[in-house]
Amino acid sequence: MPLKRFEWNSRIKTVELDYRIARYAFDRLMENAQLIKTDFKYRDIARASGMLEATYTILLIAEFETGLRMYWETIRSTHPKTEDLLNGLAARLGIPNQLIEDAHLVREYRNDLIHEREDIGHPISIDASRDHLCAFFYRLPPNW
Amino acid sequence: MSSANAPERPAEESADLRDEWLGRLTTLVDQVEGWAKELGWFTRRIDKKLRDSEIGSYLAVALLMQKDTTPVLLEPVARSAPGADGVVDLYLMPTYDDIASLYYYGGEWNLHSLSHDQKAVATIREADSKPLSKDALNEVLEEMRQHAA
Repeated sequence: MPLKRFEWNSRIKTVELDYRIARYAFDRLMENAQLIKTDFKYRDIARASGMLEATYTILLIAEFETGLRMYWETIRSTHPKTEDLLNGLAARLGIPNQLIEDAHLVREYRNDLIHEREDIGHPISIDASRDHLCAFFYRLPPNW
Repeated sequence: MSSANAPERPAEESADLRDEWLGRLTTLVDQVEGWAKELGWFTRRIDKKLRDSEIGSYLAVALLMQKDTTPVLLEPVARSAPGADGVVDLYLMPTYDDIASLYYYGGEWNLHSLSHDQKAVATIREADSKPLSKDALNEVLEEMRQHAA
């Protein structure tokens, strides 16, 4: 059977790959918007394109968090908020501080995006987000 | 009633396609594992679950390789892609950084790698390519290791 750690890390990576496909498609659409007959207005395509990376970053951390919770349920019967979940796992698994801080940066960025805060502190690219989340998730046991 | 993971093709045809792909993949993993060991990398095979609209869900083999503190994963991605009968990625772990992709076309596996001094391309498919060989694999793995360090 597949090792759960790899399975979940692979699912996180897949979200980033899906983003790249969507990015590629949007870019082609933007380039050819004048040629393609569509009911969509250019400004709506541009708006959706501008939100694409943020949308997939939210999906990325949702996948990450789901995987973490699947593991957490095997060791505890509580349902901590995400911040406590990360800290709780880090404490139990001895995850290095840098990896914890990096994962929290992505979580905080996700929160900024969801709550549409005007002053987003530290925008993080989707590949950097994947990098941070996969590195943290890799510290979980191979299987559970 | 069909399940969400049921293949779109008749069962026998799906099985043939799956067997052909898994055979091609196993041959690749056998070859890469042999070369990696000769080059001083530790290897471990792991299963990966894949879904395919034509042949359904199935388990394929992936290969984890490690030298010193650098883990690398050879992971099957897709049975088919435009212009290729198989795609396998090479990732630097644990961060899943893209380093190279292997595409099966022209009757052989071709290594598309993106060196760090190469200019950006839209997809790794557009990166420089060469037929897969022990030397080509070694070049990519060593570059990964130096980048990781």
